[in-house]
Amino acid sequence: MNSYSVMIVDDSPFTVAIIRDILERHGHQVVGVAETLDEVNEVVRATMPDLVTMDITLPGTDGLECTRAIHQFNPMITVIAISSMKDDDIVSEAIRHNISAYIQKPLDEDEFIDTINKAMSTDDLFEVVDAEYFGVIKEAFQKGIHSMTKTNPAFKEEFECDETILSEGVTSVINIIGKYPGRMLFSLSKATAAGLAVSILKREPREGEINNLLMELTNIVSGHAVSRLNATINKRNRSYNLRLSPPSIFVGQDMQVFPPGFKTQSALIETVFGDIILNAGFKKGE
Amino acid sequence: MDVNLINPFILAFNHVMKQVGFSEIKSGAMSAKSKDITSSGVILMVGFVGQLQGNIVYVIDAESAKKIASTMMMGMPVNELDSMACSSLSELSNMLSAHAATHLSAMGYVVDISPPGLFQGENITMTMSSNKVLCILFYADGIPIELNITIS
Repeated sequence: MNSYSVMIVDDSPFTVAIIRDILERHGHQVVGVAETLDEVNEVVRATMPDLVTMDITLPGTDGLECTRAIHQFNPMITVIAISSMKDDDIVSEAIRHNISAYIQKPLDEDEFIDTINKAMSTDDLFEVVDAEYFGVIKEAFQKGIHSMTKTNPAFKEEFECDETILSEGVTSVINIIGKYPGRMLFSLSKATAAGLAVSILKREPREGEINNLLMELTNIVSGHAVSRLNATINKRNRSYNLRLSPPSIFVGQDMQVFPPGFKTQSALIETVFGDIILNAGFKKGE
Repeated sequence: MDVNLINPFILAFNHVMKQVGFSEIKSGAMSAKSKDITSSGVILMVGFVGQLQGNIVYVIDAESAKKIASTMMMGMPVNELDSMACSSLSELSNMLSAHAATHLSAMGYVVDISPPGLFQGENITMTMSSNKVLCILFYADGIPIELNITIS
């Protein structure tokens, strides 16, 4: 059984005692209690909890504002709302605020623990992401190329890849950060990159425009793909959202791209501009 | 870019390099570069997102990279950048970046970092996402390591 560090946000000493008793009976550790926005900010920074139980009605603030403050500090912290009030409007507001689950008081011990386990245990969620991601990225790539160039890329070969990749000349890399961190890259020749640029710009590219355009394509493909994957992830735990760091472009013949230490998949894509290697993978995380 | 943001990286470098077996750590000149950087050798890139977002790029020439990997592996000779040497260099960039992220968090900038990416080649031109790249050269027992930070 996993043990989590938990912060309780509630202004009722009675409810705090009930929540604490249940959590401790199941091996979890209550690391802090807060009932105002200032206390939430202070306690979350001091205790770095895995999980927060959040009352919705609080003095001078509410559970939504407090959740925003927690996620501004660390978006990976899971928040579960526990409140006497529950209706469709408040539940959809809670979802919009990345609250992972909503439980109505009085608290049922089994339901509470099941909810925690479902939100926090993610081994099977990784399996889902792992099974889906490459198809999602390929589709995003296909749509991205089509909408930008009105041409259709063809996926010729696909293979699992744990070897060093030799760059075709230009490599665009974007890192993915979140519960399941990962990486996506495209590798193509300079001529292919130039052909793409001419097709999209409808003129000869000026200095720096080819790289800027590749960054934009990388942002579009990875942004669409990660949004689709987040739709799956959000059904289980909205704090596990994937995020993207800015892309970088590497230009150089025979550059070696070493394997990232986790399994990746590659596809050889034929476009009218030349071949493009797509490579991506995700790590199970901590 | 606020030049004070370099401090967490200097603190991280001083701490982590000593932990992995180096004794004399020096930081050299700091400079600002444009978004295009040309380098040879080993390039390690770690992305970050949160209250700041960008990339951290460590550049080490190939021979220095082997010496660093060897020191990290308790002096074991490293003649080529095999998977064990690459793994130790990746782990180094991960530790440096994670420590810097902890110090950034203490300054009020909470960021999460990506797994490191490792690249090698000659005359590689990197185009970063921002026009402002802050560069600082470190020396660990005389071995130069260049750190480039871009914040979007």
